[in-house]
Amino acid sequence: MKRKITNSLIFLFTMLLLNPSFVSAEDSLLEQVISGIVTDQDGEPLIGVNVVAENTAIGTATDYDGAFRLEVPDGTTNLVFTYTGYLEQVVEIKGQSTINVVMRTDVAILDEVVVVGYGKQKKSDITGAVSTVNVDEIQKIPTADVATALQGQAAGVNVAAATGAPGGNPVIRIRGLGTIGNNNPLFVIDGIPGDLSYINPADIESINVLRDASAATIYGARASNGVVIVTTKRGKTGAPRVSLNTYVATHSLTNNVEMANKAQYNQIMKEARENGGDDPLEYTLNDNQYADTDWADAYIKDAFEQKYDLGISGGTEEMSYFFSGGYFKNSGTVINTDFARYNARLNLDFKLLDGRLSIAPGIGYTRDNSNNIFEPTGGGNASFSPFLYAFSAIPHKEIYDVNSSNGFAEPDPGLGSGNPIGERSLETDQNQDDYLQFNLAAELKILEGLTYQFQFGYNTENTYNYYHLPAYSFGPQATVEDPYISETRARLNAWTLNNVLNYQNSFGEHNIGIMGGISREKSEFRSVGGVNRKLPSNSLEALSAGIGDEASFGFNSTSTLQSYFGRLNYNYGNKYFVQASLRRDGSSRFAADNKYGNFYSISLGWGLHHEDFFNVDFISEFKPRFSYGTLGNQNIGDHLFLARIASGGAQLNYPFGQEMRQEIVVGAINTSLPTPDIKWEETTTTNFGVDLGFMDDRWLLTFDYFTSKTEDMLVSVPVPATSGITTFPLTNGGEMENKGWELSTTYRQKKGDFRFDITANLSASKNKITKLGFADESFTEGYIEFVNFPTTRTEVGGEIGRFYIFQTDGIFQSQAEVDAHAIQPNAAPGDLKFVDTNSDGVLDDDDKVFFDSGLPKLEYGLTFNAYYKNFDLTLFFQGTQGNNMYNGMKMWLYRTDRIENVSADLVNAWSPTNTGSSIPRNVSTDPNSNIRPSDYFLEDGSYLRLRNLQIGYTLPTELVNKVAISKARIYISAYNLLTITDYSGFDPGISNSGLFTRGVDRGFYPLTKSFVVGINLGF
Amino acid sequence: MKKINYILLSILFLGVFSSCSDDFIEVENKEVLTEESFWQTEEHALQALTAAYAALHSASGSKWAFFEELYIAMSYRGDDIVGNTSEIYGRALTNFTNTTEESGPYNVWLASYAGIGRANQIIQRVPKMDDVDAGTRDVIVAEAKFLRALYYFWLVTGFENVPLVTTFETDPANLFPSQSTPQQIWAQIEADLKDADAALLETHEAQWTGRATKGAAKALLGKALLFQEKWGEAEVALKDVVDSDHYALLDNFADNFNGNGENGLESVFEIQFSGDRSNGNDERHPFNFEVSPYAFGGWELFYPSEWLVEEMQTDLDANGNPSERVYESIFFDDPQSDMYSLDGGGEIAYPDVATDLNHPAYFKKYAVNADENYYAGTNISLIRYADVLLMYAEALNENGKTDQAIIEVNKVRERGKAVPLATMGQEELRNQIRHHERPVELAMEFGIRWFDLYRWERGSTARESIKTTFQNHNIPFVDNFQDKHIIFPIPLQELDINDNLEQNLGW
Repeated sequence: MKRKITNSLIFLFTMLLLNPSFVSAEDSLLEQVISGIVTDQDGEPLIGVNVVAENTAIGTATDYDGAFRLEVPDGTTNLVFTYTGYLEQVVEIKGQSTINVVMRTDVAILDEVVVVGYGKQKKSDITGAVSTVNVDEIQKIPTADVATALQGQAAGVNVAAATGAPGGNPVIRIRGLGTIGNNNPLFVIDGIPGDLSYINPADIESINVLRDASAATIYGARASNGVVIVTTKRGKTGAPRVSLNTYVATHSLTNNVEMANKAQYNQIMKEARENGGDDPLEYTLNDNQYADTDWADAYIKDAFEQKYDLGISGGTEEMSYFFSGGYFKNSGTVINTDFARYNARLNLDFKLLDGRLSIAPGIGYTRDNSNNIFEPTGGGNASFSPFLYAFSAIPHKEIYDVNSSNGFAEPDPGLGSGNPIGERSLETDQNQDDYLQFNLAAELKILEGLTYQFQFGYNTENTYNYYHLPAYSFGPQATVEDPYISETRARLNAWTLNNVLNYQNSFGEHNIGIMGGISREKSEFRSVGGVNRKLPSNSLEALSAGIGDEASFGFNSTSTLQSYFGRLNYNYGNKYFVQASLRRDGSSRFAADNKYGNFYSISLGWGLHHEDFFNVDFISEFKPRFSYGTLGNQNIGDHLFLARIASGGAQLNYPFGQEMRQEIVVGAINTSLPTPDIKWEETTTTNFGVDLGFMDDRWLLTFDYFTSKTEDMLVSVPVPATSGITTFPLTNGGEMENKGWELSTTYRQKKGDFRFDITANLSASKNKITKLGFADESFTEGYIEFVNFPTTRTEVGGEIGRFYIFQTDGIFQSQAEVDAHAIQPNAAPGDLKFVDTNSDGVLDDDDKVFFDSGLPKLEYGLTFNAYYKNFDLTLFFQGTQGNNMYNGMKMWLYRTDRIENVSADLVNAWSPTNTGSSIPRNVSTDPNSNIRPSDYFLEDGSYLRLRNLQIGYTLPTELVNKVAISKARIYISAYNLLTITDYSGFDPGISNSGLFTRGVDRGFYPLTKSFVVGINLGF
Repeated sequence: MKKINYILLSILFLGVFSSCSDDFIEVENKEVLTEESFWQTEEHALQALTAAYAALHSASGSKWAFFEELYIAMSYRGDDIVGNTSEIYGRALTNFTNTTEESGPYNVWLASYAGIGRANQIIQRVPKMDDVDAGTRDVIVAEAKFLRALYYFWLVTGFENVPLVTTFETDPANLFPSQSTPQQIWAQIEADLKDADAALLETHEAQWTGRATKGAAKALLGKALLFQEKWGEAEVALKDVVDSDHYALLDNFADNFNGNGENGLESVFEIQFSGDRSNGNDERHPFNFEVSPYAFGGWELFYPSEWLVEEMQTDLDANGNPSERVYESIFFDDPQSDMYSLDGGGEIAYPDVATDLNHPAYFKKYAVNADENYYAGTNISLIRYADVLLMYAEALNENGKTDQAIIEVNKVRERGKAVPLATMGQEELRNQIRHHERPVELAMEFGIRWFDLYRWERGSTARESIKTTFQNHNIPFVDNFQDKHIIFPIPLQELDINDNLEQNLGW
């Protein structure tokens, strides 16, 4: 029964699209008056439902009683009712003056129209793995970043913060890891590849994630890591509607890492130096001397965040508009950091030629202003986390000195160098980035069922970095001799041109869709920067004022892509679905012989519940799906197929000459291997899925299982240094497999004034390398101390980025125990006992063992919404299971072989009088190398987090209507309120953005906890 | 209506599909130099040669890698140096607790093979560059061979068991060599140096000062022969250097380290550094900060060992005071001792600052630089003439020419204002050279002391175990020292990607 109605609605909808009757409003007289009440299925009046006389600009919206009154021109045959979250209703007037309408919620979501590559499809027609993100939910997350809001919202979409810094970009992975090369998905915004990080979440109408080959092949070129399709809001017919959404929030860091105070430090260090046979540090001998500074406390502050979003939309049948303006600011939880964003967007829709031609221009502008903090995320040199630097300053130093010119204290001689607060405060590292999106889409109905689609998109990203250091001296190792300035500007111009023909028709039970198109894309990057090493004054901020050595630099690279693509959809009676897609991509990134890659997919679906023989009342939908296909990846630099000669720079230049200050001569030579034959990386994916609906679709469930195999992975292959090369060549070096499953389910229930829904999604993936490099070389990464102490290893037969470290077996309690364990000759009681895992009587590299990587085995999100009368409640939980974290910060704060500050935990370190401790002894020489990478520092990074708790109250309509407000909702929210984890570091949710360094925690900027008060207004 | 549709459709198809050609996906490279246009002119050959020299600063060319990795790995283990126990640089290496993935040795490996790879490219390509004058080509190739020998010298004395790669390979199948024997490496070093010697210039024109010369090749050959205890041949090679008119000891010992004697008479081969920072260049080193006390605005990352300071104090001048070379080498508790302060810019006497010092003694070499641009642009000597004389003396002594040897040693002593040695026996002179003359004259210099200890440990002439020497010299952490520490481990980073390599014994 329900199905029948929806099907007829689809039919009506399709008819409307394809057969517009050409009635024009201007020709008609206003004669007929129609009134009525619009309710939902439960008889509740719906406020603000859009009621329009079909094919005219004449419309109104329902009031707080759900009532409307509309004068319609004579000859109008239908009224169209639209309301977000509900199916469109078209009601024949047939001379009635009262029309009461029951809007049907989009409960099933099944008949939702989903934006897919180069077109739209009905959800019920889809045979691939497509996640539709509930945009309402992501808009409840207080953030300016869409990706952050996506975390835990869709099965198979794995989002993890790389850092908690304001404006920091999270790591987005679709279905885990599919390659050891670039794993970033493709973002398509309003049909044009773009940068999601610049899009205001408030502007988003829909987000769909294409996860399998069937859905994504149409973007063949860059689709192997999944495609995220985002559409922005557009105007709807009717009088101007204004929305104003705003919130304010306070953010605070939860500092769970307690540093030693002065007395504790003195105690720990005296013990460590004594155990190591070193003389005690002079300044530790008297607890009453010197300051007792809490550096961590001074480094962190509470942040204030605010966001304002204004939206205005409306229009007529011929023209509609959507305008939005937004402002966001987060004042940063670390001193001298912040992030602000300004957004504006205007989307217009014109209908010409009696509705046969639609033209839809859109323009979006974003400006980001930020005060940055450097974070050593990613692979390679572990560098030094600024958090670690601040936390490990010794308490004896003063922060401030009123007598110094910059207000900060230079450490007492003998206390070493550095004033982390001063250095952080005096450094200026600012970005001002602009992103301009210009889109023009047009659609022409050529014949019945045949449309031509044109899309042109031009995105410009301008980034500007300003870096300035005044001269200062905080001791010999923290001195800036002269004021320094560096400025860098970069511009990325990218355009896309799509021409697509679409044919769609039904012949009886046969429904056919054919799409074919061609696309061209070009991306040009230019940058320029300059440095001057000496400014005559700290207060000057122009390169031209510089009087020191200067340098300039810049890059220039262009890439193009030319593609042909086609898709065929067929279904018989909405029961049997077939879809086939094909794409041929030509890329400038490969040499002539390898430019083109061909990608294809085929998928099948069976609407079992439509079969006559299927009559299980309990099950309202049962649709198994299958897909198989190939996807490509060319996410690499430009011109890598050329045999490049490296030239210049500190690496190759060298001084010669007779003068004392020799001239520097440019060096140039081949530093890598030529890779003329590089070609497309290709992923083959198989997907089995099923869509289930129970109890009239009150309970929905979607399950997908996938396997994928990636060949010719584009990676920087490690080559032995003996080759003489210093830059690993990027080439097709490896194969891997990835498999996993995703489950998402939603249940809704309503009882009287109370209704609720609960949505859960789970995803799991597991990858395995099957071939690597030229000779199955392993990849070593995850360094903890500069380029020492690697913690991960990636090799054939295992997953990416497994931890590969020593295994410990507690702490030596006595000399007898040490003596009995001959493999650690330098050990003493209180040191860590390492396991001779291969029992060969020596402790060496062969004793390192693998531990699971930092990639979660399972990720999940759980959203619970409840509504009672005017109150609403949202609970959003999110978490991961089965991911390891290497607590590099702990290693640094537990090591007593330096003189920097240490964790307060160390007062309880093992000693002959404190043998129960789990912390190795304090010893300045660390002869046993307790700090070496071992499972002592490896922790379970699983966590469950209450990401959002929101309680809202919608003011009674009668009340707000008096002040011309149609809707007013106030809410309070707690974000990241609660985290359940065994992880002892700052934050298990901070994953590190590097592929081989996932879960390697070098002491990153943690996520913050925040409390939000917000208001949503509609006029 | 229908007609219009067809016309529209036709236009569309024409417009859309006629424009598609592959020209669109041919994008011109505007950013990087390629093989096609390289290896043509003399300038190219010299650029390639420059790159081969650049690896002397480390594979990345960074000043930090040069000090924190190369210098620390090559020098910190010697009995002349102790690290600052508050600093982690080189900590594990000096404590003899390093693992196989310690970054210092890995950087020695990286720099050496980067240099060898670049030299190999030159040796392969330059002889075929027809547009370059044959004489110029020969000199460039000879320098490449000199550098290749030098880099192999670093490798064989550091790791012993290393692959011998003499061609630049681009076929992945040839990128995974196995190790050769140390004898094979030594043979290659000797052969390269002899070839280089034949074609190298005696001196370079002013603009190219700093490139390897005949004398450099002979001196390095002499050193290589010394390591193999080929005393006779070593004596011949080193005598050639001594007899050539190109070298002399500088009058002022300190000028070897302050930039005034840069590329001067005493310079046989130096790693070139410069304070020139134009065009974003940075070819400086941070030694001025590394050796200087905190009290002088320095970083004091390492110090002379107690043993060295004591030994130096026995190196006396005619008045019975420590000799000039001692005062110029270390800053120590002595009323006459002074040192340049980075903070104050002048010389400060020890008694005036004694209470502010964090450590009893400091090195002074490279603390003050004529070419200072915050960091230092002073060259770091690899082989200077004093070293040649001492090596020559050692060869003479082992060849039974002790009296002649003493004459050579005394040249060095006299320049340093130390009283000349009286006549002594072969064994006594050997001891004098090993544990006084070389450490006192050459203390903390790049790659000298540890490798001396290494060659006497590995040699058969009056073999001395490093461990014993360390015990005699009260070196901290001597208890951690095991036989495996005589050579570096093969870097784990390299072992992990080349299955054909075997780890050194004990690691």
